[in-house]
Parts: sequence; C-alpha cells; structure tokens
Amino acid sequence: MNKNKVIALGFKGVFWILVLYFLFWAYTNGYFDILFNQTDEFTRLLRQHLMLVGLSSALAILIAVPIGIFVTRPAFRKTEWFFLNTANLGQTIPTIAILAIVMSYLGIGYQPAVFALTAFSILPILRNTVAGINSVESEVLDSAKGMGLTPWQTLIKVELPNAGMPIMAGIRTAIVMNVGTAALAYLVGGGGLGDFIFTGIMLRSNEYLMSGAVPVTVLAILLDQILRVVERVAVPRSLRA
Amino acid sequence: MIEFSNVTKVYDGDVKAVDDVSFSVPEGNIAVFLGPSGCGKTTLLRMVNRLVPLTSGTISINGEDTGSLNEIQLRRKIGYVIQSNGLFPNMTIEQNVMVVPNLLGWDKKKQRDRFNYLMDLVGLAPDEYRKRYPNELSGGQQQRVGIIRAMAADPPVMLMDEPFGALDPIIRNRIQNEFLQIQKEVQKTILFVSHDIDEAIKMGDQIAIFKSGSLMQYDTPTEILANPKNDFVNEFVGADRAIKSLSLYKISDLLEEKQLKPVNGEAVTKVTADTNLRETIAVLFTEKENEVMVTNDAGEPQGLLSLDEIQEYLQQSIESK
Repeated sequence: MNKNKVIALGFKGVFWILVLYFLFWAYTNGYFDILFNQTDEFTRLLRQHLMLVGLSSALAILIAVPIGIFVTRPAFRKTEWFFLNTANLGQTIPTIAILAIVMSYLGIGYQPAVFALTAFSILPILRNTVAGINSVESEVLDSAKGMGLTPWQTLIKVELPNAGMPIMAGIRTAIVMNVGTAALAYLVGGGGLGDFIFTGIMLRSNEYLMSGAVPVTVLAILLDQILRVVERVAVPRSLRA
Repeated sequence: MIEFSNVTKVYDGDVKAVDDVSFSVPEGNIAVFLGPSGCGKTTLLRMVNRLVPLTSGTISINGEDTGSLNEIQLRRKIGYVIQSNGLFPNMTIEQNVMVVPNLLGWDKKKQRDRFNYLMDLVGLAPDEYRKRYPNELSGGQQQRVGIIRAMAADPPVMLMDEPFGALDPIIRNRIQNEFLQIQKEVQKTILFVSHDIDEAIKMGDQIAIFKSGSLMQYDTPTEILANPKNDFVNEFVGADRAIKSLSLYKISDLLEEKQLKPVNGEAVTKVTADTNLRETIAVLFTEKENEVMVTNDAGEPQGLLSLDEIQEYLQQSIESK
C-alpha cells in the first residue's frame, strides 16, 4: 500500500469517527427525541420528502435526457446553447427565488415545489447527457454509419450506451442535490422534512433541527449508494473508469 | 466487379476532392488506393458505401449502380474497416463482431457459429474473447476483430481505410500476411487505402495512385514499378523501385526467360521455384553462397541460380517495358 492510500484511509477513518461521535453525542443529548415521540409525523414528512424528490427527479430525467439527445443530433446542434443556457438559468437563480416566482402562478403546496425542484435538477442531467454523447469517438460513429446502422440504431445501440456513465453521474448528482434542496419545499407549503428543519430554526430547537437535518443527510447518502449500484448494473464494465 | 465511371466530388462549389476518376476492380482482387494525404483516396473509398455523396459520375458493384440502392441496405452488404478499428466500447467482442448479422436478423446459432469461425480465422480463441470488451485487447487483436467484424455477414466487397496504419511494424507485417492468407480463402473484392508504397506492393493486385483528386496510374504493382507513367508516380514509388519489385517476381518467372546452369553435384542451399527474388537474395547473403539450387515442388533440382542472373533478369524486366 502506498503512502497516499494510507493518508486517504486515515482521513476517512477520522471522518467516520467524528460522524459517529457526533451522532452519538446528538443522541445522548436527546436531539433525536422527536423521531421517537412523533414517529407518525416523521414518517409522513419522510414520505412527502421522497414524493417530492421522486417526482421532480423523474420529471427532470424525462425532460433533460430527450433534450440532451435532441441538441446532439447533427441537424439541431445549433440549439444546444439555447437549451443549456436555459437550464443554467434554472440552476443559477436561487431556489428560493424560483419558489417565490412559481408560487405566484401555481399557488402553494406540492405542485410549485415539484416544479421548482424539477427546474433545479435539469441542468446537471442535461449537461452530462450532452457531454456524454459528445464524448463518443467520431471513429466509432463513423464505423456505425459505415456498417449500415440507421441514425436511430446508432443512438440506441452506440451513443446512449457509451454515454451511460456520464448520464448516470448527472442523474446521481441531480438526485442527491435534490434531496437537500427539497427541504426548502416547506417555504411554499410543499411539506417534507424541511418542516422539522424550519420549525427547529424558528423555535431555536435543536431537537427539531436535528430530527429534520440528519435524516435528510442520511437519505442523500443512501440514495447515492443505491444509484451507484444501479450504475454498476446498467453500465458495462468497459465504460466504468 | 466494382466500376468507377467519371466519379467526381466537389466540395463547396470549387474544391475538387476527386476529379473525374474512372477504372474498374475485378472481382476477388485487392485494389490499393495510394497517394499522399489529401489526394482524395479516402474520399473515393467513402463514396463507395455512400458515406460521402457523389457530385457526379457513378460507382457500380457487379453492374448495379450504388446510387440506385437504399444506402442502409448497401452498407450492410459492404464490409467497412477503419484505421482506429471503430469497435464499440460498450459491446463485447462477440456483440461487436455480430453487429451486422444481428441487424440482418440471423438466428443465435448461426451467429455463434459464424463468430467461432471468424475468430479461428484470425487466430483468436473464440471462447476466451467472446465476453471481453475491446479495451481489454491489444491493438493488434482489436484490429483483427475490426477486420472480422467487417467480414461477419460475408459481404462480397470490403472497404479498408488504412486498416493497419496504427499498428507497430512487426505486428503490421504479421497481420498483413495473415490477411493475405485469409483473402486467398475468402476471395473478396477489396478496396484498400494506404499511403505506404511497400504496403501497396505487398497487398495489391492493382494499385491506383492519386494526386490531388486525379488518378495518375492504375496498374498491377509490377507494371507500376517497372513502368511509372509520369514523374509523380516515378517519384512516389521511389528511386529504389527495382529493389521494391524484387518481392513481386518469383524464380519461376525468371525461369521463363532464362536457362539455369546445370547442377554440378556440389551441395548448396536449396530454394523452391515459387520463392520470390527478394527472399532468394536474402538466402544468398545469409548463407554466404554464390549460388542457390532451385528445386521444383517435388524437391528435384532444376539448376543453379546466382546473384548476377537475378540482377540481369531484373534489369531486363524494367527496361523491356
């Protein structure tokens, strides 16, 4: 084992010890009491949170991947800057501002929250889809064409599979960010674990704050790991660096 | 047979990449397109499977105008090999080789048999490589797979764009020999782009030499070396064209014009009559002999051959043309 690996492992070890110590400290101080005292409320908010993340992520994938495919077709290359910049806008405008704007049109509740989260998640998926498809070598595309694959067959059999790794990475980034951002849904009455967090902030209650924030973090890490497994199944080993 | 008639490609209205080219390649032959970069040889090749559309003229395969066919169907009947092999990184070796048969709807059994046959042909163990991915193979192995992928659906015509260009000289030489051996068996009509005169002489039944889009000379390698049509061809084949042509003549060619000295009983190194002159000279030099004994296929001595006679024959064959 070389020196760098030892150092990396050391840092990892220290990090996890700190995390576990923090959780233990929080638990002994009763900061997770809400989870035990209001289990029903917690599961309701968790379910809401998952619904927000699930629907907005699914919509973002359904919008971003087809657009990514569209702008990489030779005939529509020129539209790439338009879509990418629009998606950039969706991410650079502060989420709270998007929520505020959306609220004035869609009112309050679940819908505006989903809309804002979707807008926020499109960029990483779109950018990675475009980058992934663009990274397929021109020789590979040339031989596909030369062998008599139709443009559709080239897309399905060659371009998308070879862009699989970056696309999956984009989806993973978007979903993990989405889990954290979904806490803001509380602001438009969209529910989710943000209820606990904002209640904690307003009441200056560490119990509420922790019972909201820690599950959000754990959820993000958990989803990331699950998506890594999906990635291993979906992407052939030759493309996993 | 592949026939090019008045084939022209003009880019942007005035850049002539291919200029009024006409010639034909007989069935089962390898025609090498040779010339410096930018001479239009690759463009001409890519016009055959219509990756590049023609500006004017026609290309026909076995009497059928390629322009009248569906381009997707056309391409599936033409093998296509490129320099960087173009294997699909996301597919296993078997999936890569079977791309076209798969599109043509071959059943599993037929595909499997074909894969095994082709892998054996290029000396790769089918079961060892079936499930591997292209990036797990060496450059030479990848290129072999690239070649058999083009042969997978047994197309009568193959296009090869500098297929061995990215390989190191030793591997390149080996694969060239393997490929010629395979060609003896499969007898495809092959168009082969190269910028290397030695490769062209070795691989080609015919060589077409191009200069800025125009066909300079289309002939057999022996003709081109013996009788370059103009200064460009002369310069391109090089001042050592006599030496290059050595590998194109066999002792049996020489026997048609010359009587050998009778064998006088001394034991000297034996070579068969189908040995080429280049190898014969190599034997003379390495064995430090003045003469070699030429034998027929049965091993019976035919006579003695010396360096002087080879030199004389070569000069005659170049001057006579």
